[in-house]
Amino acid sequence: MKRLSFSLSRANRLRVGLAAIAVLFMAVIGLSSLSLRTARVDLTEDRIYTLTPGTQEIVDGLAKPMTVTLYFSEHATRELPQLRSYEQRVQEMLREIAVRAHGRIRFRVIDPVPYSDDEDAAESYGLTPASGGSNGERVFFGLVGTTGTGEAATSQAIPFFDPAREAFVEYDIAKLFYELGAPRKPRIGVLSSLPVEGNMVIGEQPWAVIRQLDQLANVTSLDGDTLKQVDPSINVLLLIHPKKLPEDAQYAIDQYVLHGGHLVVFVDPDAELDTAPLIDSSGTVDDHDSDLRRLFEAWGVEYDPTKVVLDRSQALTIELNGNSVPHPAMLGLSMQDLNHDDVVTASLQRINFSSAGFFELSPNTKARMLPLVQTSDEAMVVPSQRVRDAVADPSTLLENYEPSHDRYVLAARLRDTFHTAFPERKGKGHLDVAAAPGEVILVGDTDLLSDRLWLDVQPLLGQQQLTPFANNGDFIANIVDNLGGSTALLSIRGRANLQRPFTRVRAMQAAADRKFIVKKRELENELYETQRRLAELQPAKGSATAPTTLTTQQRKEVEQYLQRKLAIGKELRDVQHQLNAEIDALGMRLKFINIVLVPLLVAIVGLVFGWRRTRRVRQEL
Amino acid sequence: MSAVSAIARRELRSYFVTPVAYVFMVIFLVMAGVLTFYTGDFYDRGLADLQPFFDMHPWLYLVLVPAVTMSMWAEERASGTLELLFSLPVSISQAVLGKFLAAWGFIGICLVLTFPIWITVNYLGNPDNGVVISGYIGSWLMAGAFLAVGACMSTATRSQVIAFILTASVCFVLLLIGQSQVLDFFQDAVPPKLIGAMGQLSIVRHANAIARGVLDLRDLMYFGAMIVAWLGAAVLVLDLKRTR
Repeated sequence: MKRLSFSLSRANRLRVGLAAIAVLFMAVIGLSSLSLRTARVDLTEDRIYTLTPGTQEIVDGLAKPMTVTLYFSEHATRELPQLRSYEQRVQEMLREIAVRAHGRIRFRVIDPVPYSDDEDAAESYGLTPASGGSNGERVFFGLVGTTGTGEAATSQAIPFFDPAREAFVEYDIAKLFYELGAPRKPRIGVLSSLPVEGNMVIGEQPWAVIRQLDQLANVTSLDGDTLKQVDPSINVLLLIHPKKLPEDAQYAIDQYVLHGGHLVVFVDPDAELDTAPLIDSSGTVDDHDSDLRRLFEAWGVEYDPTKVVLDRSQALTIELNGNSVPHPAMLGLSMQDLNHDDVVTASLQRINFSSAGFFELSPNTKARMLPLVQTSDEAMVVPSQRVRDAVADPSTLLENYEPSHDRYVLAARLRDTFHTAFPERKGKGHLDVAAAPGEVILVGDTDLLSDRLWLDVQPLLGQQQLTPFANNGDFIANIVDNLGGSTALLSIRGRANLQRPFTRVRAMQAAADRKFIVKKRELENELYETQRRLAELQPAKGSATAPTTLTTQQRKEVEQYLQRKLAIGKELRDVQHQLNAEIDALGMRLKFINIVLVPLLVAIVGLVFGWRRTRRVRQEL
Repeated sequence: MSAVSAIARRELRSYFVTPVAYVFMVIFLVMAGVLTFYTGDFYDRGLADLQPFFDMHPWLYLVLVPAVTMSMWAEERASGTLELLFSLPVSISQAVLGKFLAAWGFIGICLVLTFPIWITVNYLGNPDNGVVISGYIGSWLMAGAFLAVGACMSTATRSQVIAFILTASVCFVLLLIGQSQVLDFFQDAVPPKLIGAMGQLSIVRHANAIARGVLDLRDLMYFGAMIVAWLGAAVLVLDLKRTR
């Protein structure tokens, strides 16, 4: 009996042991995947896998439970590895947010296979599928957040996670949570000396920008003449064309900013939509310019309301007396002029400005200016009067044009812990210095708000059909969206550009391109000259006056030129071939070092050690 | 612990006594370079990261790790030195751990010798060096998991060739298990939760997760559990062989 139990335990020992190990292994893997989700170290330079404090603050502040559903077409994206890896990043981020929300956020992933209820649901939430999946399937990659149940349920969606906006994915997700948690529209105050609100009495509509803001937010008009204090419940204050603003109103704006209010200032050296007469009945001259001098000085901003920026390389073409004329004061600023690291301008294509001013920082300020829109380095600054004088013929602005090779800031974020411009005032609640760093957005133009610079208006079935041809409206909407959210939302910036190219190779490529262009031009000139000379030497066909035969000398010359022509053609091809020779040579060198040199050194070390060892053994023998 | 380190040091030294270690290192470095530059298209893709380099490591280890581990125990058993080892004042687990650490250290040296590719990528652009370090950690952990498998397989047989084949086969299964094509193949036949669990077992998935630049405790636990489990199994098998 004893023997039997011994042999049994020995025979089963391995099996039981191995089974126990397998079970323990699976248990450890299973438990760790369920419970250890947030224990991680992010080694990336920009901490791209770590939630910023802003997102954490928004998630911590969520009062209501909500469900977020990531719709991702798993099957359709089998051949799209980049999109799949992006989806992995989005999913990781959402999982981490869900863990941080301590049960208030439920997260799930759904694969909306074609013709399924899930696909219908995804579309009903407003998700927009992209085409180009495996077998032509549509690719869903969007997020839906819902809160409440039944009739009271509200939802927000990110229609599609565009890989081009990968740097802003955390901002977009945090915004969805923020808006879902606080469904109230932000309050916007508008203080304007331009007729942006239209005139209902004469049937004039508000400007499209304001109509658009009405949908995004609750818009309140403020009167500059009577303004003593800006209501602190106003999330964003738009100050448009501040002209002859009373000191009380300026003080109210100053204190609003110091108390953490978000201000957007639109000033203009030449507001073309200013309806005030240029010279009124009492003979007072109005240049249609605006400034916020006292506040700008306190904030460390330099702005000259008598100067307009011209940029001949970004000039818009206008129709004048049936002719198309470039207007260097009307600027079409495209992607290379917009800041791609800022969420406000990152995804915009083009913003049109007209007779814009520019901003600089004062020499001794601690404030930081982050440009949103800049001119090219072909710009120059002229007095605004010159632009006004050139209304009839804008081409006069191009006379004596000398670019200053500076890029002028037309719109910017200004960041600082602001100081008051009214230190002499000491009323109740007065602040000399802001309690925390704040932000003001400065825009050097008011015309960009007008419909004519970004909208094409066509009558359609008795209605006006508005088609945007520039992103001016989106620019304003983004600013309000960005500033109207919480400060936490404002603090979530786009991450640095995720793609890191071979800078050295790119520089070499650019140098090679330049070299090639110069050489090509030289050779092409020579070729042209040779062909011209040949044409001269060879008798023209059918020409009665031309000699029909060539002298020996001429024939020799023709042959020489023909040979030279062939040689130039070959040289051009050679230059083309040599274009990347340097880059290829670098590649070959690097391949040699990595594939041959180090292994060769290891082999030599091995041989030396082996030889010394053999010699020692021989000596010992 | 001193017994473990003594065994590890003795084993590591023994690698370099014969030309085998040098031959192995040369093959590893040449193959890593060739696969990175030609199969992974490292230079022409123009991006300053080491993704093509680390992407090739699972397949490199699939061939080279079994070559390192095949003689780890099989040779001791075949030549009869196993009994001699057990007569020394060391436990089986100490011996298993010592030999494993030596092999892991050896692979670590091989990885360190790939430093020119790191210099190369820094010369060509501005890579995220945090991600590069993470990639090396992920690769080394994956090598550790494969080595543990190899150590276990080497205890199961006297034949080095069989040990090689068994190790390569098990590692191949571990590599395949998380591939999307394999998961797709099982999609209709297996419940989704099981598919998810299969994905959790994928060695490539965990190594890739680390190579992104994030050291997640789940991935570290996976590799830790993998190494402990296979080495535990090796101890069991050796213990059984000894008592037989």
